[in-house]
Amino acid sequence: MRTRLSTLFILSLLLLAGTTLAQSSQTWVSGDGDDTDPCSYTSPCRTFSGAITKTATGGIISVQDPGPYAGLTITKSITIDGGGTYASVLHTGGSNGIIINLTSNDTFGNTVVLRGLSFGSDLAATGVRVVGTVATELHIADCDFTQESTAISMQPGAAGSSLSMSNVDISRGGSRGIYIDPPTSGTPFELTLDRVRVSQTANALEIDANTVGTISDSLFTASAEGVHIDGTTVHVNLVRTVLSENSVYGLRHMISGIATLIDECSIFGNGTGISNTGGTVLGFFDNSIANNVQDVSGNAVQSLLQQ
Amino acid sequence: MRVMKTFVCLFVLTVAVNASAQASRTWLSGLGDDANPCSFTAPCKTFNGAYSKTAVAGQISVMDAGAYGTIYIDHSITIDGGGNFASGLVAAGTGVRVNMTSNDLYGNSVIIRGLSFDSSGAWGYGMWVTGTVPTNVHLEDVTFTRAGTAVQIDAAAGSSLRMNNVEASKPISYGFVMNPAAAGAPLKISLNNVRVSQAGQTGLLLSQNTNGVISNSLFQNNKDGVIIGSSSVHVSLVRTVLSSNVEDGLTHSVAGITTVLDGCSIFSNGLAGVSNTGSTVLGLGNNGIAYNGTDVSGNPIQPLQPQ
Repeated sequence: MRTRLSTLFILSLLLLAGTTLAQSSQTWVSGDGDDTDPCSYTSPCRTFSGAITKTATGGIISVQDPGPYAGLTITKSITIDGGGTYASVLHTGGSNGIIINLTSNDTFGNTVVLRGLSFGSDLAATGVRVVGTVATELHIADCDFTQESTAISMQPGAAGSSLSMSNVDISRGGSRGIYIDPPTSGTPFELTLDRVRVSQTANALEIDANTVGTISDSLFTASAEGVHIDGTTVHVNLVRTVLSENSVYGLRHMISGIATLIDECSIFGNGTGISNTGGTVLGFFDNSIANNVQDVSGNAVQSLLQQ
Repeated sequence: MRVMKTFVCLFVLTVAVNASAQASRTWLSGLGDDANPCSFTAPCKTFNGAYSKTAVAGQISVMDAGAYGTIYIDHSITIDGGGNFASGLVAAGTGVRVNMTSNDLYGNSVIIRGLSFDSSGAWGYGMWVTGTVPTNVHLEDVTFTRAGTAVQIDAAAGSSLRMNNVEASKPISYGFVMNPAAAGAPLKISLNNVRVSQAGQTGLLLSQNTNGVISNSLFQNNKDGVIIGSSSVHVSLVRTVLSSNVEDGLTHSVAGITTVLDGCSIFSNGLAGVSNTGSTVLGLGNNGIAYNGTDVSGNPIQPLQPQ
């Protein structure tokens, strides 16, 4: 009896120790790694999904070489940092790249950071998809997405979520480049896009509800629609942003009552530059809208004096 | 006599060791060891380990995405992560601490390039500059994630800060704080392409005695965008976006401050776009200010004729 009890005790101690060891604040992956390894620098793991189980909440998964590392599901605050290697997340056959599905609050602000990653697919799945039941903050910097059905899909279950992107390139996509579809009520979704470039998709940027934010120094081009807005609770500002060569619309207000601000934007070579039936587009006499089949349909751009 | 020889030998050896300990160029790798000389073929393992073996104004090069810990700097140095965006997790406290107390022959100059600092969310500074001599700091291609405050400058009079392509995401309190000595030569700042989002307090806090230009930058979704706390601060904001901050875009928190806005976009801030009680904001007639709680409170923007 004594032996059994002590064996059990030792076993549980070992299990506890194992659990503790399994959660480092920084882990590594390598194309040479193995998911049975501890994901240390000298014994890296092989996949992101192997590494995340060994990474503490709020920790960081670092990348040693381009990989590829396949997709994963994230359920806690984490940073995945491909560094300058643009670590590859190749996902094909209909499987999504990274699913972010947080269902309980953590002490790190439910924050996911993806940096220096290169997503590639076969037009059959989503690159990064946010769902979940708590407010989730996603930051994407220095990433590229190629051949995604939808590159980034924000469908958080909780109001007050956010997306900030900096230096992201999305090309040759399917239905949408960036899709923002948060809960229709509660704290608005916060959108910050800076130096984001989307080309050759159906809707380069689609925002469907309850969103505020600013899109600056960005480019939405060679798609069917550049910026597609489908909710009166969406209010975004476009600054120094180019909407060009979109076959149907540069900026489209799908329904009446939407207000969008444009400041120093260039809207050229689209089917319709701005489609604004029953809506408001506010400018500052500093936007260039030309060479579209029709420059503005619906209400004309209203302009305020600059200060 | 023999004793004398032994002394001479020991002296020569000591000099040799000191000389080898201070190379002008050292290297760091996740595979390194601080017992190594920090050469390319035998790199060190931590910033502090390499720093002690690097000569004044030398360069520490980072070979891969390791975890290099924090660093304490008291003389001129360059740390170059190259294209690696070598990442470091700062569990708590300060990532890069600069504290110079004597002048060196190289202008008291600290250059940090191509590094990522992630904090696990504990309070602390990504970078904190103090000291008793003028210190010149240059940050290029650096990201700070979830620090308490990303960059805090509490430097001596006559110091300078240049930042280019620097990002602070979700700092718990402040993005960048300029709080140099109140008297003496002002801190000179040149911030280009810097971005602060989701700061719990202020994106950029200019407390006192600071001159300079903030250009092509973005302060968005913070509690406040830019706050200026003293009439000893003279800055110009050029082509900079202040948007969707919970309170103000730009705040002059005391009377008698003068700030120039040139080509800025100030939108969708919860309280005032520009809060300017008793102070002066000069605009070149090219700033867009709209959709704020109040666009401008206090004194109106004073027009300044472009030449």
